[in-house]
Amino acid sequence: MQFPTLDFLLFFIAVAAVMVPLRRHHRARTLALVVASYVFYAQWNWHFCLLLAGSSVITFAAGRLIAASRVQRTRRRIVTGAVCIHLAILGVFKYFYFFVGSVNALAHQIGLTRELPFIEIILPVGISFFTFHGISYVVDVYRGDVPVCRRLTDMLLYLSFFPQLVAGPIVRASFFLPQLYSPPRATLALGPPVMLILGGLFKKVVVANYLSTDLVDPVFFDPASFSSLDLLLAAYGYAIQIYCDFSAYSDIAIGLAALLGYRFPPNFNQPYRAAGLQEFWRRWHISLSSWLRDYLYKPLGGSRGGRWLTARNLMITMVLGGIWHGAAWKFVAWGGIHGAGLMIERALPKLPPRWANSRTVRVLAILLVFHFVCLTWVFFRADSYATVLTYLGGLAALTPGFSQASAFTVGLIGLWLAMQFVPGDLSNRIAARLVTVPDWTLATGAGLAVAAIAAMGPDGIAPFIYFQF
Amino acid sequence: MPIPGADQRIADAISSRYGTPVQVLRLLLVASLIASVVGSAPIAAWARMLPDSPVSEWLQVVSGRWDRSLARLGLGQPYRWLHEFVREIRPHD
Repeated sequence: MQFPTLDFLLFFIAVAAVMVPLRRHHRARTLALVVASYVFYAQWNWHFCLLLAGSSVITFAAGRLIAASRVQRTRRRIVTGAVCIHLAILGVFKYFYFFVGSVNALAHQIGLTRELPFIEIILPVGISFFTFHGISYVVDVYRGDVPVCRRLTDMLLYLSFFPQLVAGPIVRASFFLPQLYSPPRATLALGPPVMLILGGLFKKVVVANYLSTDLVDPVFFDPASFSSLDLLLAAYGYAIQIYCDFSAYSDIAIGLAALLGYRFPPNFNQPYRAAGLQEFWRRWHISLSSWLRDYLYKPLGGSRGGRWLTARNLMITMVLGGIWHGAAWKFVAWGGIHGAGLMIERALPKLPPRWANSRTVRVLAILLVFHFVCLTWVFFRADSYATVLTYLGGLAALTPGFSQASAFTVGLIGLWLAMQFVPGDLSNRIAARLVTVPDWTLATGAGLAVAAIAAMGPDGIAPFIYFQF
Repeated sequence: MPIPGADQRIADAISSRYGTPVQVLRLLLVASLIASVVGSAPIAAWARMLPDSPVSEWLQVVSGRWDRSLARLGLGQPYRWLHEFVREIRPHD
C-alpha cells in the first residue's frame, strides 16, 4: 500500500475515523495506531509483522534492563547485546545474499569450486529504518538521553508508526516518545500538513515519475546508445528524481503524522543549494546523516583524533552509510566517493574571508558540489559497474545532440533546480497564511488539487525508491 | 531573552494553533468527495483493477455509473482536459 493510491486514502480515512471516538482516550489511541500500523505493514507481507514485533520487544526489554541496572559494565553489555541483535537481524535479512555472493565470487576468482549455499530470504520492507530506530533508542537510554519507555505499546508504536515505517524519516526516540507520554490535545493546524502532503504528491506523481519514465530509465538502461548531452541531462534528471521521490515520501509522512497529532523532524532542506559536501549532508536525508553522525562517527572518535583519524572516521561512516542503502558494491563505491570528497574538503585550506564571502565563489562552489553529487548518483542508479563505466565514458566522449531529453523533462529539471533557491522562509510564510484558511476552503482546495495531480500523473505509480532500503 | 526572528514567530504561531480529529476526518471526507466528483475516472479505473470478489464487482458497477453520470454533467471534463494537455506536451507518450 503506497501513499499516492486510493487504497491508502481509504485506509487513512478509516484511521482518522477511529481517532475521533478515541480522542480523549490516550492509551486506546496509541493501541489503535499500533493496530493500524501493523495492518499497514501486513499489506506487504504479514509474516514480517512478527519480525517487527520481535524487534520492538527486544528493544523495549533492553531499555528496561539498562534502566534497571546500576552496574555500568552490565549496562554496557546489555546495550552491546541489543545493538548486536539488531545488526544481526539486519545482516541476515539484508546482507546475506550480498555476503554469500561476494564470497562465492572471490572463491571463484582464486580457483575454488565449492560455493556457499544461497538461501532464499525476502527483504522485509523498511527493515533498515526500524532497526535504526531500535538502535537509537537503546543507545539513548544507555547514554541517559531519553527516559526509559514504560509501556510496550509505546515502543510498538515508536518502531511501527505507519507514516515513517517503510521509508523514514528516522525519528529519534527522544523526539517521538515524549509525544506519547504527554497526549496530544489535538493535531497541528490543518493547512501546513495538507500543503506538505499535496506538495509531496505532486513531486512523486508528476515530477519523479515522468523524469523516471521519460528520461532516466531509458538512458540508464542502455547508456551506450545516447549522446553525452543525453547522459548529462539524465544524471541531472536522476538527481531531481531521487530528491523528489524521497523528499515526497518524507513530506507526506510528516504531513500524515501531523494530521494524527504527532510531529516528525524535517528530512530535507534544499540540498542542491549546498556550497560544500558537509553542507550537502546537513541538507540531504537529515535524519540519516545526523543518525550516522551521532551513533557512528562520534563514537568512532569524530574529529577529535587529528587529521588522519578524522579522515578514517569519515570514510568508515560514509562507506557504512552507503551500504546501508543497499547490499551491493555500487553503494559501497557511492559512500566511498562521498567519504573521499568529505576528506578532501576538510583537508583544503580555508579561503580568505574576501573570497569566502564572494557570491561568485559561492555560485561556483554550488555548481561544483552539484556536479560531484550528480556524478555519484550515477554509481547509485546504475545496475552494474559496467553500466557506470559505459556511462562515464559516454559523458567524457562529448558527443553532440540529444534524442531522449525533451523540453518537458528539461523543464521539470530546471523548475525543480530553481525551487532549491527559493528563499527558505517562503514556505514558512505560506504555511502561516494557510493556518488562517477556513477548513471548508482547505478541504475543497485539497480535493481539487488531488484530482489535478491524478490528472497530470501517469496511469501507474512506481514504488518509492527508498522502499528498497 | 533573545527576541525570536520572523521565521520562529511564524513557526510558533503554527504550532500554537490546533485542529481536532473531527476536523481532520471532515477534511478528508470533503476533500475525497470533491476529488471523486472532479476526478471520477481514476476511481473507476481503480475499481476495475481490484481482485475478483462480490464487493469489487459491486464497486466496479457503482464507480462506472458514477463516472458516466458525472461525465454527462460535464464535471469530469476538466480532469480529461488536464490529462490530455500533459499527454500532448510529453513527446514520449
